[in-house]
Amino acid sequence: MKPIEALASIIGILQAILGFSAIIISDLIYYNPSFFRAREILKITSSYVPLYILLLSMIGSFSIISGLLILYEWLIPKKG
Amino acid sequence: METDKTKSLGLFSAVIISLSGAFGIEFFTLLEHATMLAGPAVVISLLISGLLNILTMLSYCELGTSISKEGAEYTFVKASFGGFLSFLVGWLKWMACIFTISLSAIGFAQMIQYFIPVNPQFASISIILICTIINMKEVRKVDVAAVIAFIAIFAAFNSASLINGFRIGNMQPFFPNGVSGVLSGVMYTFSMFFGVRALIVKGAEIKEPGKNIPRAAILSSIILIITYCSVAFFAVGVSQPRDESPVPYLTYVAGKVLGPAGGDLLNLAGISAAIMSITTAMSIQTSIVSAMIRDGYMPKLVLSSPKIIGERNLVVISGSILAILFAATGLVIFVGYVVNFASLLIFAIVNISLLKLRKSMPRLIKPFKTPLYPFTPIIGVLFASLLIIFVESSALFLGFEFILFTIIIYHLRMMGYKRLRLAVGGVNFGVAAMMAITIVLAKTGIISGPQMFKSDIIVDLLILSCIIFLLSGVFNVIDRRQKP
Repeated sequence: MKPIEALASIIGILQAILGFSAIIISDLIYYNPSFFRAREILKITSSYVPLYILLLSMIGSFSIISGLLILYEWLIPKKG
Repeated sequence: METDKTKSLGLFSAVIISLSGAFGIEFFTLLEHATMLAGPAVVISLLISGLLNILTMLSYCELGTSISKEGAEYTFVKASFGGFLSFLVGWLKWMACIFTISLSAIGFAQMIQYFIPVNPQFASISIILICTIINMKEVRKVDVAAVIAFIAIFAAFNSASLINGFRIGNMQPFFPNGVSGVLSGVMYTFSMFFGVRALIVKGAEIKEPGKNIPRAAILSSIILIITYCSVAFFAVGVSQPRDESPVPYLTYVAGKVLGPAGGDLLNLAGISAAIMSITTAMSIQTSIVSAMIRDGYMPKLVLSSPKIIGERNLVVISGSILAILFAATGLVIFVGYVVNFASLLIFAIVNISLLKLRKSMPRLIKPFKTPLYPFTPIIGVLFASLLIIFVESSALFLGFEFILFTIIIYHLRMMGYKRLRLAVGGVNFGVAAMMAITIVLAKTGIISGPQMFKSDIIVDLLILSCIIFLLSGVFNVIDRRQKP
């Protein structure tokens, strides 16, 4: 594996993990208000929690898709 | 996949199919909120919803009998307009099914708590998982007994209410929130009739479709209007819903007029309705998504997937995962509004499709013709458009956001893999730039950001994320196979 392919793979994996974590964190903010005092630190009022869930979920989903696209492009051997 | 089936079902079976699709959890969960908005005039809201449903069902009947292909609404719009509009309807319908599954699961969780003290999120997720397995094994059969049981339970509820607690004085004032309250009530009650369309999906199995489908649609809609309006009328005559009540509204009233056993009975009916709604929505979503895959509007990756899972089951599983995410929020009112927003938009587009199809394909064989054409579809479009105004703002926001998302997906799908990667790369650059600007502005104090920007760990994490997004943008934009 060439260095650039290795770097691309690492970035792809990191971005997919980042996306997955964003989705998990959004759920934790909703279900467990005492989680790392996240609501308090981020000053999230309960009425805005669904909005945060939506934003984090959207960014999270996008990150997973982007990460997987990088892995698909750079990790899987291409013909021709 | 669907195979050719003999047309073996008569009018009675058609009515049963229609009613089993329509007797869903919506009536049990959304009646309370609709009554809070409209007051006793919720009966009028139900009547308007029922009549609007009949108007649209007539258009459905004409389209369903003329174009009897898998995919119902999506296929109708595809035949009339093609392109983006059919793609949008397909996606909206799929999403409406997912939200219906979520709504039913939330309703199920509320009802089951009456018997077992179980975590509501756990209950709603569990029921989606169970129904997914049931749906994958295709063991669901239309149950005549279930429909008859529903009607019998509602009739018992009405009779007991009349004898044990109905007071006409309880219905004063009849219009506490005026006309806008009634129309807001329609927004909640509309989805209660939506299941009648299950008849169109099963149209290929019905004898003399040109005659039996419209008759069954009208007959079942009338049965639904009478059942729902009478139950709502007697329920508000006994007691109006109160805020923060731990017991579902209809269960509370049934307990009052029929004793604790009545409450149990109605809850059991609600639980059965929830399960029926989930399995119906799952079969509709499979039909829609399969049709979209057939036309190349959805990735054919699923078609080349291992035979162990299969295309059909992959659709059910992916829809269930999304439904679980929404059900886990437990936001019944919000989910209810989203379902209705999507349903109204689809209804409006289907009616427009009928107008378009009559003009563009005048020689198409129509076993059934919508009466009072063109007024019927025009009234359907106007009514559906008017009701969209009453959608709750956050649901409206999510709805339009979803349409925007659909436009992006459609164009990405049409543009191919290379351009898709370029687009994703571009968005990555945009997100990275936004993150960088926000961090700089917050750190320099130009904007008074939340307290999180004062925490070094959070800022370090944001900087790391910014770098990852930037590099992801680069790797998505670079073509690996390009020769220098």
